[in-house]
Amino acid sequence: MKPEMYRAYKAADFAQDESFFRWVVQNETPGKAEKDGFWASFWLCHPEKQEDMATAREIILAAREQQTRVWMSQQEHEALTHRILSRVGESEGKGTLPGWWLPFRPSLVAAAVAVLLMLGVGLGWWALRSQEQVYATTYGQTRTLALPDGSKVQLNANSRLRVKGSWEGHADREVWLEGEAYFEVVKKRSDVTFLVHTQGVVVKVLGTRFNVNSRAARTQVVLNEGQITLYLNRKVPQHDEAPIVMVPGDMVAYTHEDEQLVQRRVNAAVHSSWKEGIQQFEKAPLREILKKMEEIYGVTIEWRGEATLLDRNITMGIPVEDLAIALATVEGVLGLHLEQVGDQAYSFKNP
Amino acid sequence: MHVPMKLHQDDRALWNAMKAGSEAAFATLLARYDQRLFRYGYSLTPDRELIKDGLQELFLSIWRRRQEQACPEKVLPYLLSSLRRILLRRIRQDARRLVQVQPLPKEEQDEPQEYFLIQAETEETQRAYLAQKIQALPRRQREIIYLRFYQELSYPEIADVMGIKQQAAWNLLSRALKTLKQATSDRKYRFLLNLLFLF
Repeated sequence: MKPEMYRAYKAADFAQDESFFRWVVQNETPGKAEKDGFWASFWLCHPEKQEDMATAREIILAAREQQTRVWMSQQEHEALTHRILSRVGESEGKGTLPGWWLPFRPSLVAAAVAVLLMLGVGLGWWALRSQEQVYATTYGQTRTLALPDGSKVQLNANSRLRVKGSWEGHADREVWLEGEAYFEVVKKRSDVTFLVHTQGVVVKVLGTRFNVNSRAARTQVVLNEGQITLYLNRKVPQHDEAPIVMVPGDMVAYTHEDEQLVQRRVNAAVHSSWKEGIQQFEKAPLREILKKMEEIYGVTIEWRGEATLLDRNITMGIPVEDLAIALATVEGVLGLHLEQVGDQAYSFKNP
Repeated sequence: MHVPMKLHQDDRALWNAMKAGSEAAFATLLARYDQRLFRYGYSLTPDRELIKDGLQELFLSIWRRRQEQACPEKVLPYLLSSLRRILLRRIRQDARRLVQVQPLPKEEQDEPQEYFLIQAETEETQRAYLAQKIQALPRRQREIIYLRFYQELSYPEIADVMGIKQQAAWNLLSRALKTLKQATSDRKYRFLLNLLFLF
């Protein structure tokens, strides 16, 4: 190595230098940095270069750290692995072109191209008609979407929204939701409705603002403004059942398994408060707060304290995009003991 | 995180076992690289579903073509460049298909308050700030930053993956680094200015 050469280096040059890069990576953990070696002594002997070296180091480490923040959740990872491996067994022999294809005969190829072109046009038309968009958020992430008609949707963490069709002309505007979302639907002519499908219910809308939370066991709809009608997805369809008409401040919860229906008056703003970044709870039992954190962050939270405390009503807010702060808030506000008990598992108990 | 020589040999052993029909070897390769490839995909598109679909296409095509395809010299760069080709193709197709529904841009983050800047001017906040600036780089500059500093590819490997000349790769990285360097000095300057206001 030639120290003279390095004296002319600026931050960008250091960052691009292989041996400097190695040195930074090997000494990534502070406190563990090696005390001798070329770069350590270069650092000491050339104080005028320290700022550039520090900047280069920061850029390298920021890039590495940024990447480690991106990952597939356990659930995503398992689903993908399953999707791929389940097709490995069945794909024997497919995908390789049969031998007769190999000596390309020009006439055959031309015919094939013509057929493919026709197919392509047909497929393109079909794809346009049935185009479908899926929007998804992962744990601890929210997202705002604009729908083709100008309506706005905010997706809470761990949720999926499917949008089908181009919504032109008289077609119903339809979306499918798994998870939680807040809708601001713009009014169209009275015969064009907006439908939100969930596992448990169908929400029929004219123009309005409301929150839908549909997880595995239960769908909950809270209306902030306007008017909506709710149709229950019963296991055995009951055609003569009247839909539920909701007015602002109404909350309807429907459990999928035993088809229990609960209707209550609530403070609607509290239920959709997550879209401002903080999920508020107003006199909510602790059990509900812990459940909500599990939904939003995809973690398991175990209660190891006195069972009766789970029913105590609590008023507080937790952030929806930062698990560490959310956990610390519950721990601090309620004076509980927090413990990490697994990779994605935590426990609380009272002292 | 660096891929040592031994891992390259390991990869080749796995690949050859897969060629011989071992599903277990294939599953091991998948488990070894899928998160890492997902991260790379994320520097090309924020659409998680798209990246996962791309990963599925990549691995299934490797499995289907295992008999005719020779084991690559280095597996990771090969996987990265294949994924890149698949994702860019899918992004182009999507751009044609995706006509109406556009995600709204996230609201601009407010500049941090003065007092906050002064209190928390630690290495951590500096890093978060830089991370933000990396995110804001043009796509290819962001991509090369991650290929070099996270995936730890050499210049020849980067040139291969991105389909450009080595010299061009070098220049591209220089440009990205200069932007980031500029961002850090701007910030230091602002920080000092804030201090001056305080007194």
